Amino acid sequence: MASIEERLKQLADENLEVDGQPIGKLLDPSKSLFDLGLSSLDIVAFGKVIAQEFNVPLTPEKGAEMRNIGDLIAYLEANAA
Amino acid sequence: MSTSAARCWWSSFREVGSATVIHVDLTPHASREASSALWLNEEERVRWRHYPLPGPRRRFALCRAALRAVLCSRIGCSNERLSFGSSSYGKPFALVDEAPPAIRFNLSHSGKHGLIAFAPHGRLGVDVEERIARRDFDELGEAVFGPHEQSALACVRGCDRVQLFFRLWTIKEALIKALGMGFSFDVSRFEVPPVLYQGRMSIFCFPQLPEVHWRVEYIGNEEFSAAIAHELFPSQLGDQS
Repeated sequence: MASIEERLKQLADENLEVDGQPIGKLLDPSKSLFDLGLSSLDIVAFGKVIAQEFNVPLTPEKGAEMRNIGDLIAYLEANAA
Repeated sequence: MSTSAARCWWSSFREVGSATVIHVDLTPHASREASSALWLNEEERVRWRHYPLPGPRRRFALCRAALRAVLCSRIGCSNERLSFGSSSYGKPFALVDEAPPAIRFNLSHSGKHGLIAFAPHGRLGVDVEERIARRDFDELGEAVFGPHEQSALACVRGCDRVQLFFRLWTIKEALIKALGMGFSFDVSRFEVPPVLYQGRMSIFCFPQLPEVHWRVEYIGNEEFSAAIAHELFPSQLGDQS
């Protein structure tokens, strides 16, 4: 089974782009989604997709507590169904 | 530091109450990008190089250089004396020789447009968004809008829906940015009153913070949606028009 990081990259490729480019391969645990050039609206929307895919509660307020993609991966590893 | 090689890529956009809004042109432009990089300090250059994609890297450099140029001009300091700190929620603020100057600012960018708002005092938030029709308007609306806002959106279709979505969103994000707590503040727990998204300027209070008043104005045009929120002091409440 794919790791959470690999699933996140696939979800990002399917749902996010910056200046017309998919960004899955650029997901780096040390970076935040803002570092990739995403807007707040993109990030809120991606949070909804992640919550549905991993069956976890992931509100914008919860997301605001996470400093980077590594924090998101750790949260999903601890809470994903 | 001179910007003459590339001429200024920022210009006055609007005066909004006691705040000034500058527009920053973020279209690709090699000489402007080269010039902007010279304005950045070492910490900013590290951040600039850290962006993996050229578009976000360009937007950061052009906006930050414009911010530096305007702040230096308004404060009357050299670029070398200017640095930036950030709050625990990540909201940036200016420092001159490590001390905060008497000026507030906030910055936003989207696509080819950046906006920088300045004011002598009061918390300030600005947001700009290029209008892009999204497949996920309904799902996003459920996450970020309250019931009355969702009802207003459900009543419009096509271009009018896109316009209203971004009008509501930019007003909300400007308010959230002015408050300075980011998305730790639940955006669906307050609603933009119709007078604000139908008209231009209004005084707003968060239901959770009724003692603080914000002057809020939609400042979008045909190219982008945008809004500004600026904290008012009690003495200013009678002056708004």
